[in-house]
Amino acid sequence: MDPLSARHDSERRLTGKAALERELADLPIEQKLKMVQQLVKVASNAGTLPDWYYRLMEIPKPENR
Amino acid sequence: MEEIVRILNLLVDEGLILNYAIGGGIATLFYTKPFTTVDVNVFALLGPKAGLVDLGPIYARLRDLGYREDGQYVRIGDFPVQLLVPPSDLEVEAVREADTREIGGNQGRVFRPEYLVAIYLSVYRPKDRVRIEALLNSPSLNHGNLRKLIERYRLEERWTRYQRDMTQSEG
Repeated sequence: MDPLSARHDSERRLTGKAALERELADLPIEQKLKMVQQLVKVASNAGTLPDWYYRLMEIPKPENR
Repeated sequence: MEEIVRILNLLVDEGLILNYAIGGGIATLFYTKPFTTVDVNVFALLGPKAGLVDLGPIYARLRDLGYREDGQYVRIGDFPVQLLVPPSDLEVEAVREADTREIGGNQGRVFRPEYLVAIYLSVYRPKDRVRIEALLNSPSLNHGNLRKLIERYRLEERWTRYQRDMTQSEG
């Protein structure tokens, strides 16, 4: 591991953030994809995705809030 | 996602695609925690039936199969899919060296993390920096192989810039 990565690693260990991130990273891909779809849905509902997305997925684009 | 992999494998069987691999955000997701990414980038080495760089026959076949398109995107299942011809030797090699992963009962090809980092370094948009950091923290990433890719594709300057940017953003 290079010095930069090693430093990140030790900092993350200290905060406990690494354990949570590792836990999320280790989830099965199907589960991660479901979480991604939820995140995209939030962005979609907020009207922040590009126009082509709404056209392609056949959903109305909300006003950008 | 399983539908996408099934269709990609069908395009390979039909000779329209010689080989393919999923890249970009969705490939990154295999090695990192979930993050927002909208589309699926598929890098395809085209077969003789498609021609070397013409994605037209592939889009035509996808239309025949009933899939909608908008510009460069095709909707397959719940995801917009963007088919791309590898723009450089790095992406061609990334397709050839891709990992095979089981996705919903189908075998799909996915860029290895070292190639993702090398490609993100070569493109180096703001979101790429974040993804590089996430991939560097993945135990799946082989740092020796990454270093070889950085050297072979002359990405040392970008790597140095990334390290400097990360140091500054922390300081």
